[in-house]
Amino acid sequence: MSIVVNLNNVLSERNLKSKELAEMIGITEANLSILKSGKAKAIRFSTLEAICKALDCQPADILAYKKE
Amino acid sequence: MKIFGPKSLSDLFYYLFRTISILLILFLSYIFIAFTTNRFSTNNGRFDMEIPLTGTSIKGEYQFSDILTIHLVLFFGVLFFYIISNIFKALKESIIFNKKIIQNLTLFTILNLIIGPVLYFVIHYPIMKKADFGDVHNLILLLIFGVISLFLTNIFKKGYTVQSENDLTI
Repeated sequence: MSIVVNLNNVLSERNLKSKELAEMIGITEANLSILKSGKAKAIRFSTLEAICKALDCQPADILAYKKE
Repeated sequence: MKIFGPKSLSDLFYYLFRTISILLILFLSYIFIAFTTNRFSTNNGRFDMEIPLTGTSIKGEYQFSDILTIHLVLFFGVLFFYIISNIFKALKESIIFNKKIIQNLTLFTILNLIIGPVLYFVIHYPIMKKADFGDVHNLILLLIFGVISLFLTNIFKKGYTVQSENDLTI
């Protein structure tokens, strides 16, 4: 998939663990793992909003387009 | 009453069709054992076999072709009802667009579109040596079941894809 999820980078910059983020945004660790691994087919605006709010960042900090 | 999921109409039909398939396999086993152990009477080239607990009997020409036909048709019936029961078992799941239903619908399609018609022609021509298209309504029914099942299989395949994508929407 040409959309890359850079959640790991943002998490390490904020010194946050996946478990903590999952709790903050109200999704399971398993779903967060699917999102981080790039296996997710889509992301809801509500999830994206919750992540941006929790990490104090912009959607572009998390998602990027990479030409294949 | 719910149509799908646990404690639903699917649950009821699962038990109904599974019971029918078990009864048919018991009946087939009984007939096979009765024929191999000579537990029947013959009169004027016809056999008469009592069916236990029912007070009725099966009668027919006492020749290999008739006996083989009875066994083949009953075996087909066992497979038919067993696969239907498996389809309803898959519909009992909380998520109905699952792999099990696709597998069982595919089997049901193959059974009705390939195995059934082949069995019909094998029984009618090489075994019974008939020259007409007798009982052709059975063949037509099998083909109708098969075509409906083919479409249902593809509908469930589409549903499974949509379900998978929905499950992977975070």
